[in-house]
Amino acid sequence: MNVIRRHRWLQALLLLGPAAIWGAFFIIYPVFEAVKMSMSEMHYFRLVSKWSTESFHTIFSNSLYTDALMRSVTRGLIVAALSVAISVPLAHFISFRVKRHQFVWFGAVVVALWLGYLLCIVGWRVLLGRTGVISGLLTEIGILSHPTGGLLFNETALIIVQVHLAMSFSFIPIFVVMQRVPHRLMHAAADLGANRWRQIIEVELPLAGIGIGIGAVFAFILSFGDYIAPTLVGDPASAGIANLAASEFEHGLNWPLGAAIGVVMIVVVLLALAMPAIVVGLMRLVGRLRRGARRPRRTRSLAPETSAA
Amino acid sequence: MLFLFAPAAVVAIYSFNKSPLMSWPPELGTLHWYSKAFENENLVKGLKNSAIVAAVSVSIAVAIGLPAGLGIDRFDFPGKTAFQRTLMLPFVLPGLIGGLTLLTVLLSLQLEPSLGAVIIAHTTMLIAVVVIQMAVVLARWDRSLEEAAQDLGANEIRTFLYVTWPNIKAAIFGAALLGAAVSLEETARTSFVIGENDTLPIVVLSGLRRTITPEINAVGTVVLVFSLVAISVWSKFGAADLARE
Repeated sequence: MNVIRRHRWLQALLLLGPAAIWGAFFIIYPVFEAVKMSMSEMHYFRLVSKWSTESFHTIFSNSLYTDALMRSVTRGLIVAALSVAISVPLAHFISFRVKRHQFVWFGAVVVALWLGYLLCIVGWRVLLGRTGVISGLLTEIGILSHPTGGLLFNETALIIVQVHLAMSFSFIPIFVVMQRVPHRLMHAAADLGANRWRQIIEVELPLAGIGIGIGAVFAFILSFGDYIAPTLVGDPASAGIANLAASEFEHGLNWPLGAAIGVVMIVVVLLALAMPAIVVGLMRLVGRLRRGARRPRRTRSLAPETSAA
Repeated sequence: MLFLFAPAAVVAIYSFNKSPLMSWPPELGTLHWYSKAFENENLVKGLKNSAIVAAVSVSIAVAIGLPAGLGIDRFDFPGKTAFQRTLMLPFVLPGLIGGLTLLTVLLSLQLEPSLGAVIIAHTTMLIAVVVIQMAVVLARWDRSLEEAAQDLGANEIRTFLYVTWPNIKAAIFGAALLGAAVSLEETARTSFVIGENDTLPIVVLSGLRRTITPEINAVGTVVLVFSLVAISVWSKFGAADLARE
């Protein structure tokens, strides 16, 4: 006991060691193994390890895979844009318009969003199906002459469902940053004559920008990596890259190819995760260059000068 | 708001529907599908497997994530940010990646997919949940209380038991419940490494590939009620902190 008390590094080791070991075995090592498999080849249903780029070559030269990759990226961007477009007004409404019981509202939204992945899909299938609620309602009102099955199994249905699923990840970061926007800054802008829209566009959104960026990235990742909803509510013929990866393993066809698609997807997701940082860095750089161009002598920011004075 | 609540609402409503067809308008007033669901062997077995997976993975995740969260909060070491990000990665990466990479390990070690592999996949993801929750809780927790306890002669273990733990236990409890809810409906990772013993979402998924039966709605409603309870408890302890941070 005394030995442990005397050495802080030993305490750190005891606390962090298990997590480090778990992470090494079940986070790092599997990725390594996937990379290794992506460079192997299949010979007569057996894996043969070698340094081969065959699978990656297949992915980037065969239009089946490039098209699927493009489709997944495009769909991810659409889902990200839509879920931000819904989350931002909702978060703004709860943060700035709701005066009392803000957390009840927040809780209600969170509860609605975290209902569960499959449950959400089941629900939308009941809503959109041939005999389902929406088609039935529209028939009753008289917009449709007979119930339609055309609402399900297409790209629109898939995007609706994925936006719903993605909002659970995009709403929370956006709401958190909106909570941090000081109300008095909005009041100050109002006093200086900015109308409500200018207050939102020039004060609130730039301050909330990073949360919105993170929310968008989460939504993109959810849609990009989803291989279940595309086959259950989308058009199975135009699923995405994730489905191709899953089916290589499901049908035991070509494991190295499946692993290679996985590796490509990891790269895309990591790039997406780095996006907010890259954008912020670029914006700072552009800002600095602009300021530098305007005032070549005084490039320093205000803060050190005031503290020196 | 209607958009957000509609799917869950129809699942719950149609679980009481008399006709097996989910047509509009619903005719309510039967518990038939609930009793049928509980007679369905696959569903019951799935529920049992899911309960085992959830219980084991949540326990391991708390046992590993709790000390890790404390350690991250307390010590600075080279590569700390990288360490933290790596631990949180499984929560951020798509489930497909987690399942696929774990499957490549099983294949290359020539192991059979099994419930054990599912537990590993879930635990890896839940550790991230616990670590994130710990970071949120400890960020607003006043360290000077711990220092005071130690000045009064308490050792590290007594300090943790009598000062730190009472302050974080609600949040950990919340994180565990949230983790159980997440584990109970995890599908993307699970379907890669599942063996013979299907968990509940996998049973539901294979049912969905054929057709929706009202039994699925009944099961869905039961899971729904559980997640509602779990999430409201979690948001009472955790989400309020998250928003206040």
